[in-house]
Formats: sequence, structure tokens, C-alpha cells
Amino acid sequence: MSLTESIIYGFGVALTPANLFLCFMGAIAGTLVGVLPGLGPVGAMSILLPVTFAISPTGALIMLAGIYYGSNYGGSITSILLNVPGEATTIATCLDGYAMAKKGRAGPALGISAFGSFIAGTLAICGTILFAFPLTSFALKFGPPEYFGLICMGLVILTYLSRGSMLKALIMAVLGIFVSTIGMDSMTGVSRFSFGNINLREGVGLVPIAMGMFGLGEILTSLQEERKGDVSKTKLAHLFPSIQDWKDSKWPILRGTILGFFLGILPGGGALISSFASYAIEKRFSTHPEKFGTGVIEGVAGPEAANNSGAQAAFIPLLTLGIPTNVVTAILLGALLIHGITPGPLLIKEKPDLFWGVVTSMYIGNVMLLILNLPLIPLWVRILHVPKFILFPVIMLFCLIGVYSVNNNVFDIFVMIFFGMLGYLAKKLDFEPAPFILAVVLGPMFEENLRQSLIYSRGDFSIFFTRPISLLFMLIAVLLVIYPFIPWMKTKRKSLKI
Amino acid sequence: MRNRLEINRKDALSALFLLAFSIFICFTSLSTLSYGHFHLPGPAFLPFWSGVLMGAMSLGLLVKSIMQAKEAVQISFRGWSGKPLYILLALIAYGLLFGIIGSFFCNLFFMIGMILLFKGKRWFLAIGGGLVTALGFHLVFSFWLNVPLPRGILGIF
Repeated sequence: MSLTESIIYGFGVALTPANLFLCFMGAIAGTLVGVLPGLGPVGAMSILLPVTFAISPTGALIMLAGIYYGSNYGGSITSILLNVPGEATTIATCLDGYAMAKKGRAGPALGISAFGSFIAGTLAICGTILFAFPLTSFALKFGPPEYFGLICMGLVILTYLSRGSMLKALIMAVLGIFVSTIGMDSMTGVSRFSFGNINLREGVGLVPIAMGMFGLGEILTSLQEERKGDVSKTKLAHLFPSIQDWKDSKWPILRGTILGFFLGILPGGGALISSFASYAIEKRFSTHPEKFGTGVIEGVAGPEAANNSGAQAAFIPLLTLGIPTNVVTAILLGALLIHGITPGPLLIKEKPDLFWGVVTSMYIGNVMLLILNLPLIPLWVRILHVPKFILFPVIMLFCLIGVYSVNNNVFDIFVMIFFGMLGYLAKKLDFEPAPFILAVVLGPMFEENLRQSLIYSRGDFSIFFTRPISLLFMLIAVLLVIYPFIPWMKTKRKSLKI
Repeated sequence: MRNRLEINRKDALSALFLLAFSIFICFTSLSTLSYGHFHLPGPAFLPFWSGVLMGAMSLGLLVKSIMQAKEAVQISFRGWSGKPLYILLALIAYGLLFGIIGSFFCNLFFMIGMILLFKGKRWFLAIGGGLVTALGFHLVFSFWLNVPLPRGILGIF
């Protein structure tokens, strides 16, 4: 199939009534979790994972992807109106978005956020289509050492960019690798760390872990957080930006899109880093940097475009290399594996409906979000007023019944509770849960590629450093691990901290 | 007056716990599984080395918490009034009773308990909210999604 035929075929898949409905549901659910502080896209995707078992893998991925980019749209609404970032990816939007709202310009801020996200999303999807083929051809050259190097690099970059101590983030990653080894060894069939428990022989499932750490754990942590901001003071007239607003925003949107796209492809990147990097760049490019933080539209347009572009670009390494570059795509990988699909270079050939269907559905989802979100802003704001005493127990019940419904096994409920407490304690003790969950998902691949490489090289570790691609990945990983000994890198990391 | 320097307690305690856990991983890996060789790694290979790595990093964290001793840092329990603990107990009770009294009553009692925990002794609100939620969940999961939820010893719902 040519590129044009592939895109038309993708639209044919995405526009079937079932997939269209799932795309809509994902986008709406994503906006909802983006609006509500306390439950992020990872938690929502984990909770909805069991629901996807009853639908096709393509439909499942379309819905879960919708949650991801929908949460970016939703998060910006609360960032602008309440100074409450529903999502970490929209923290940068708070800086000027809320300041604009305080000046009575909430409408243009929300408008440029939605239009900027849409333009960025559209361009990023074009980029995804163009980059997918070359990256797939490149990935076909990968053997076990290259994959091992890529996984190492991905894990290390994520820990490097984590908030707080890198040492703690690395500990979480190693703990995640260990947890992934529980259960049957795929190469020998030996049961590991199951201690005679029949439930543990199958390993610890991704769904209870993700639901526990990101669903339950987030709720327990949120009990201490008070909501702030007063939406009643915010005026919502004139949602469409003026011609001057467009003039001020066009280059920030374009720069944010390009930056977000390339940062999104890199392991550890994605929407979060993109939005902060874009804000910093816009400030540097601006003729009035001193006004940033006081309510300039460039400070909203750039980060919003960047976070949406980064979110879409993160699908490229997942679908072409089979490697998730952040926690959200790790959950998506988990969902695909549960459905019996291993993403990688052969996915485009073997499952064109999934690849092209998902890519084109992202465009459809962006259109839906643009059309629906602006008129629905007052509704989203009202949802913010749902009291905690209803919201939190209902989310917990969703977690409990959702996790049970995966295998109809009460044991999974206890696994989820355990990881919920672990997630809560990790946050209290300043350990980032993100590297843990990424390591749990990547653990089996990490082990398989490590062991295969060692068998192939007869125990010679130099195999990871003598093949060019693997060498490049390993060098980046090693360089980032030894950063504490290089003072200028330490300063650089501090500036990246969020 | 000389300021009293204390180690970062929460880091030190985490490090000690993780160190003990890593020793357990290494010991269990080698005592119950085959390590193999570098040219043919066995099932214990990765767990053992992840234990070694975790132990080394925990030691690093412990040393760091001692070296960077400054003002005492304690885990803050202010503001949460023991709610996470009550919620944890409620969740464990939910798991234990789920198969015995069935999903409907579990959901009902859990919701009542949570509303009482968050809102104080407002029984009408708690029972009303609990009933609506339990019925809603039953409709969504049992009727719409066809999830075979346990009916419990009472055999209803």
C-alpha cells in the first residue's frame, strides 16, 4: 500500500461506528480526567483497561489513546480557569493562562489552547505518518543487544528526568525490573518468587499494579491536597482569539509543535518535558520576556501546542519499535500485550488496521475535542465541583471491580491494594512511581534481550559496546548515570527539574 | 549555640528497608533458583543482579542521608487525620468480604463507610449515596458489561 492508500485505509478503520464511538468515549473520558485533579491519564487508562478486553485491539488502543490526548485538553481548562493543573503536562499553561484569566481573558486563553492543540496535533500526526516508515526500516536492523541498549537508555532517561532524586528513581526502576521477574521464567518455565502461591505463578499483572499505583495511590495522596482557585470569578466570554492573538501565537504554536514532536519521540520525553521546554524557548524568543508570567498568550500557545504534539509523537516509538518511552505508552503497550499483539517493526505490515486506524483516529479525536470542548467548558468546570466524598470512593470502587473483572480473581484486589499502598508510601517518601511502572512493563523484554545477547556472545558483555547502535544507546545511558560526577550536567538537570 | 544535625530519617529508613529487601532477593534467588553462567544465564540471573544493584543503590542512599545531615526531616502526617489508614482497612475488608457477601453488599457497605468517613455521621446521605452507587455499579458491570460478579452467600444480586 502506498502512503495515501494507507491513510485512506486508516480513515476507513477509524470511521467505523464502533471505533468512532470508542474514540469519542476516550476523548471525553480523557478530558474528564484531565479536568479532575487526583486522577491522571495513567490511572484512568489502568481503570478502563479491563473494559477494553471486550473490544477489538484496534478499538481498545483508539479509546486509550483518546484518554491520553484528551487529558491534555482537559488539563488546560483547569490550569487556565483555576490555576489547578489537572495534569502535570499543563503546569506550564498555568503560568500565563491563569494570569490571562485573572485579567478577564480566559476565553482567548482557552481558545488558543484548544486551537493550538488541534493544529499541533494535526501536524504531529502528519509527522507520525512520515516518520513511521523510515523508523520501521531502521528498527528492522535491531537485534537483542540493540533492544537491550534502547530499553536501558529509555529507563535511564526517564529516571534522569524524574522529579527529585535520580538515585531514588533508579531504585524504583530496579525494583520494577525485579517485580517483572516474579512468576514463570519464559526461557526455562521455572516459577520464580511465587512461594507456592498459584496466583503468583502467572506473575504480577500489569493492571493491578497500574491501578494500585496510579489509581488508588493517587487517591490516597490527593486526600491531603486541597483544591484552590475560584472559578466563579472567571469570565468566559469571547472564546475565540482575536486577530492580534493569532498573530502573537502562530510562531509559538509552530515552534511548540516541532519541539514537542521531537522531544516526544525520545525516550523519557513526551508531553511533560515538551511543554516546559516550549515555555522556556518562547520566553527566550520573545521581544518582551519580562511580561511572561503576567498573562501573555505566547506562554499558553507554545506549551499547549508542545504538549499535544509530544503526546502524539510518543506513539511513534511504541508502534514502530515496540518500546514505550513514557508511563502512558507503557500502559498502552501493556494493553496491546494483553490483547496478544506485540508492537514492533512488523506491526505496520502485519496489523495495518491497528497502526493506521489508531494514527488516523488521533486526528478524528482532535477534531472531536475541538468541536466539543469549547462549548462544554462550563460543564467541565461544574464537574470540578463534584465533592470528594462521592468522587474518591466511586473511583476506588471502579478500581476494585475493574481489577476483579480482569481474571475474576479476588487475589488481584489484594495485589492492587498492596501496590496502592506502595504508590502512596513512595510518594510520601519522594520516590517516583513512573520509572517503576515503566520497568515492570519493559522488564520481560529487558530480561529476554539481555539473556539472548549473552547466550549469543557466549557471556561476553562487550557485545553491547561493539555494535554501533547498541553502543550509542549504552553510551547515552552510562553518561546519564554518571552525571553526579560531572558538575555541569548536574546544573543542567536542575534546570530541567519541574 | 550549635545547631543539632540529624540525618534525613525518611531516606535512611527507606534505604535500610530496601537494603534488607535486596538481601532477601539475592538470598532467595541463589537458594531457590539456578543462577546459570554468563554464557547461559539461568532464571536467578536477573533477580540476583537486580537485588545486588538495589542493595548498592540503597547503601548509596543511606550514605547520602547521613552525609547530607542537616535539619531533621520527618514523614509528615499532618492534615490527613488517618484517612489513608481507614481507607486501607476498608479496602482489605472489601477484598475479604467480596466473595462472602457478594459484590452488591460490598459496594453498598464500602460506599456507606466512605461517606461516613469523609462527611461524619450523616447516615441518610451515606445510606442513600451507598444504595445509588451500589445499584449503579451493579447495572453497569453485571447487566451492561456482563462481568460475573460474586453473589455471595445470600445469593441475591
